[in-house]
Amino acid sequence: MIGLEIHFQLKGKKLFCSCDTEYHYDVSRIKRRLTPTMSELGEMDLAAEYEMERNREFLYNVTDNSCLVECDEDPPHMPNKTALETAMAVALALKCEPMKNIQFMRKVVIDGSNTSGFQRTGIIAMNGYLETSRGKVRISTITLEEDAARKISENNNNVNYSLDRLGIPLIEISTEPDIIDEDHAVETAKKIAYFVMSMENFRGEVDSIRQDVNFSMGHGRVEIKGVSKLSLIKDVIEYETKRQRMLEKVSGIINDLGGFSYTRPVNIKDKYDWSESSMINNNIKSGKNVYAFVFKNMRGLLKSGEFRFGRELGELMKNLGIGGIIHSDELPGYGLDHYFVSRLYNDLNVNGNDALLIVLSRDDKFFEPLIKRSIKLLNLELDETRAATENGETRFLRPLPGRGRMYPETDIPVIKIDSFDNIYKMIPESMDKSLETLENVYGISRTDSEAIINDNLYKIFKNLVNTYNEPRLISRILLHTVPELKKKYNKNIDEVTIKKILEISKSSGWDRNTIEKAMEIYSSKNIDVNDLINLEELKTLTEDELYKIINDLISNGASEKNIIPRLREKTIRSFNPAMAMRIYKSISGKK
Amino acid sequence: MDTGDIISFKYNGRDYSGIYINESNGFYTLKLSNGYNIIVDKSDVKIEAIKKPENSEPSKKIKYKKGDKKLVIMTTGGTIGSTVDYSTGAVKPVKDPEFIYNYIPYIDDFDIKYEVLDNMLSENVTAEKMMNFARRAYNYLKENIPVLIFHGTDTMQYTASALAFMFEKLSAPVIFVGSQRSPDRPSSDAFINIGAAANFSLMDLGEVSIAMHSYTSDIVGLSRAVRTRKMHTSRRDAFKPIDDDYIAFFDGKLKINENYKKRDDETILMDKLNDNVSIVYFYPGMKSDDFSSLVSGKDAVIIMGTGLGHVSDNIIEEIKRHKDTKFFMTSQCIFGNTNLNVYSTGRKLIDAGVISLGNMLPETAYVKAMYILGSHPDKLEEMMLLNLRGELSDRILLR
Repeated sequence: MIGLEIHFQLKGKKLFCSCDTEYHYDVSRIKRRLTPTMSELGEMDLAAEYEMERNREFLYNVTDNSCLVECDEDPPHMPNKTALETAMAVALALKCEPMKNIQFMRKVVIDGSNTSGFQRTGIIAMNGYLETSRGKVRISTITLEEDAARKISENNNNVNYSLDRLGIPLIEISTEPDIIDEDHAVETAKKIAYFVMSMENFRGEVDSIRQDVNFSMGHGRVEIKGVSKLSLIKDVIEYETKRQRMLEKVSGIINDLGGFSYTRPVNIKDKYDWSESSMINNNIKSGKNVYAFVFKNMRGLLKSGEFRFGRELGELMKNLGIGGIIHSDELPGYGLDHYFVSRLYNDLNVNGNDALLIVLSRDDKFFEPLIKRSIKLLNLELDETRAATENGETRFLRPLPGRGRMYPETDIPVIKIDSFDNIYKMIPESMDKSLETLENVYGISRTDSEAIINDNLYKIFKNLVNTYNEPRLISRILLHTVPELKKKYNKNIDEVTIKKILEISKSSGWDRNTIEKAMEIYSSKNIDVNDLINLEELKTLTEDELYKIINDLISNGASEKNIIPRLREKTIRSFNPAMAMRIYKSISGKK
Repeated sequence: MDTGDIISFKYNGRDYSGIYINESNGFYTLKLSNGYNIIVDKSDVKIEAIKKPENSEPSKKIKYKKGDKKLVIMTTGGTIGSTVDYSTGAVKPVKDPEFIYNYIPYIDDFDIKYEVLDNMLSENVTAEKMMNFARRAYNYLKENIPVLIFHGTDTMQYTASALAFMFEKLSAPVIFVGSQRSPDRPSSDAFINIGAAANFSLMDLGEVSIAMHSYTSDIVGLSRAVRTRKMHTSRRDAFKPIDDDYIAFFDGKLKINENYKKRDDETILMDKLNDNVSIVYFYPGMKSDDFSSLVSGKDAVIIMGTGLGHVSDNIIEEIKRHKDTKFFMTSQCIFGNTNLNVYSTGRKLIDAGVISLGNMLPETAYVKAMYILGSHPDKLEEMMLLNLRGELSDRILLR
C-alpha cells in the first residue's frame, strides 16, 4: 500500500508575513534552544521526546527575506490570500470538498526547523480524487502550511538553519493508500503536480516540489520524507520493499533461534591496548569509552550478503549524535587484526553465532534506545519516519509523530471563505485535458504533446499560440530549437525573447529556417534581440536578388536537383524555396 | 456530547473518527484522527457513535529534583502563567509545579515552593493587588528566601517597581519573570527565563529586578525594576534597562556586573500604596478640559511632557488652577533627563510649581508617588527627588 504526500511551494509573499519568498543574502544570526512541551494527553509526543534526548542548539541565519515572524518574535499575520485561493483552486480541480472555515493548527516539530517549535498548517479541503490510468486515487486532505527553515549544516548537537525558506506557502496534497505500485505512484505524482504547476504562483525552483511517500507492506506505516525528484519515488519504494523483506528474514531467523537476547554493555577501554586502531584510539583520546556487548545469534545478519541489520542500528546511533557502531561482521577491521578480535571474542564469551558490537561513547545512554529499536524492528513493527537520500535509499529519521502534537494556532482567527467566485475562475485543468487540447485543437503529435506537458511548457505554449497562432512551429521551437541552442551555447532563450523574435519574423516575413537562424545568432553572439531585425543575413532575398543568383548558378551548371542546396551554399540570407524553384524553372525553360 | 468525547462520524459520505471539541453557530469543531481540527456545518455531519474518553491518569514524567537552595515561585498570571488546552486551544493557567520540574533548565540545585497568588491578565493589576503580592512575598523574604514572581509582561515594570519601593530593605532578591511566548510552545522564552531567574536568585542581591531575554538569542538579562521598561510589543527581548546597565546575564553561566545593591540584614516592608495618582500623556492640541478631568482631585500627577518636559500654555494655566495637586514632569522621550531650565516653557512650568524628575521613568514615577503617598505622605516632594532605589541617575553614560 502506497500513499503520497506532495508539497508544492508557492512564490510571492510568505504565508504569514509580507516577506518575499525569494532570498538574496543573510543579515544576522540568532541562537536558540527548544523545549518540548506536553500534548493534551499529558504525554510527551514520542517524536518530541526523541528530539529532546538530543538537546540541540540551533543557529539561525536571518535572511533578507525574513522578519520578526520568522524569528518567532512577532505573532503570525493573517494568511496570504493568494496562497489560500491557489490551494482552494487546486483542491477543486482534485474534486475535493473545500472547507468554508479554516482553522490553522500548530504541529509540534522540535528538530529546530521551525523557530516556533511548531509548523502552522490548516486543512483547506478534504475528500477528493484523481483519475489515473489504473483507477481512482482518493485524495484525503489538502492543507496549506508554512515551509520549514532550510538546514545548512549539522554536527552533533548544533544545527544551522537558514530562515529564507521558513514561511514559504506550501500546498500539501495527501492521497489515501490507493496507489498500487511504484509506476502508479509516479503517474499519480505527475498528475497531481500538473495541477499545481499550472498555477501562476507555483514556485518553479529546484526544491519547490517535495514528496513524502507513505509505504506499508503490512508491518506498519513508514513515512519517507523528502523525495526530491519524481524519478526517486520508484527507487525509494524499491529500496524500502527490499529493506523490509530483509527485516522479515532477519526477524524470522532470530525467532527460529529462540528470540532476541543480548548482554549489557561493558566498558573495555582500559582492558586493551587500542593503539593499532587509530579510529578507536582517537575517540578514546577525545574522552570516549569503549562499550562492548553481544547480540545473540546475530552474527552474519548485521552485514553480510543481503543482510544489513547493522545499518539499522548505525542510523540510530548517528541520530543520537554518536558516530556509529562497530560489529563483528566487519571484524577483523578498523585496524583490529584477527588475533585481537579472537582475544575479544574469547574474553567476552562471544560464541560462533553471536555478534559482538562496540560503541564509542562518553556514556552508555545509547543502549536503551538501541535495544528498544532492535526489539521493535525484530517484532516487525516498522512504523517510523525515514528520510529519502539523494540516491533513492532511505534512512531512519525519528519515530512517527503521534497525534498529540497538534493543537489550534490561537494567534490566527478561523478564516471564513465567503465566496468561491474568484476561486472557480482559477481552477486548473487536468493533464489529460491539456493533452487532449494539444492533440485535437492544436494538432500536435502525441509524443510532442507529452513532451510539452512533461517539460512544463504548456503555459508558455498557450501564451505564444494565442499571439502567433502557429502551434506546430511553436511546439518545434520550444521542444527542439530552444533546448538544442541551450545545449550548444549554454544560453537560454526565455519566453519574452521568443515572443520578440516571432514578432520580428512576422514583420520581416521570415520562414521557419530564418527564425531558427535568428535564434542561433541570438544564442551564439552577444546581440540584443531588437537588433536582429537589422542583420543583413536575416533579410530575405527579394525576387530580383534571387533571380540574379540563380541565373549565375545555372551558368555554372546547377540542375533542378541541386539548385536549392547550391543556393544555400551561395548565400547566407534566407529565401523562399518555392519562389527559387519557380525562378529556376523560368530561366532554365528559356535556355 | 462533551469536549473530548471520542466520536465516529460521516462527513460528506465518508467515515471519520476523531474527537468532539465543541459546537457554535451551527458549526462543529472536530479533531480528526490525524490531529487536524476541522470546522464543519452541523448539517454535513452525521455523528454515529460517541464514546467517553478513558479517564486514564496520564503517565507523567516528573523528575522531582530537590536541591538545597530554597526558592519560592509565586504566580500572578500572564503569558508565563498560562498554557494552552491542547484539545480546544483555550488558554488556561498553569496550576501545577510539574511545569517547573519537567521543563526548566538549570534548576537541579533548588528546592522550589510554588504558590499561586492570582490568575489575571496583567492589565488588570491594581495597587490593591500589588500590595497583596508584596505581603505574600514578605512571608518568605523575612526568612531570607528569594522570591520569583511570574507576572504578565504588559505591566510588569509597574508592579516590580512598586515592590521595589515598598521593600525598603531586602535580605533576599525579588525577581520578576515573564515571557513573551507562551509556555505551550517549544520556543517559549519562559523556560529559559525562569531557569536564569532561579540562578540570579543566588546572587548577593538586595533589589527587586526583572529577568527577561536581553537579546533575541537565548541569553537572559537581569535588570533593575525601577529602570526597566517594556520597549517592544512582541520580541522576547522587549524589556530594556533605560539609561542603565544590566545587573547580570545568564546563558548557562552567570555573569555579574558590579553595579547592584547587596542584600540587607533584614527585610522591611512598607505595604501601603495610595493610588490617587495619575499619569497624563501630553499631546499637541490637548484641551484644557480633558487635562483637567484627568488630574482633578489627584494627590499627585505624573506628566509625560514633550522633549525636555514641556506642555502647551493652556495646560500650564490648568496646572496653576489645581492647587491641591502636586505635578511632576517626566518625558515622552523615555531616554534622557527632563530639564525645565532650557526653554521659557520650562521656566513657566517651574513657576507653576511643577517638579522635574530628571530621568525617572514615567511609570516608575507613578508607582513611586503611590508608595510615598501611602507610606510617607508628608514627604512627597522631598522623597520624589531622592534616589531611593536607583530610579534616578546622577550621570547618564553614553551607551
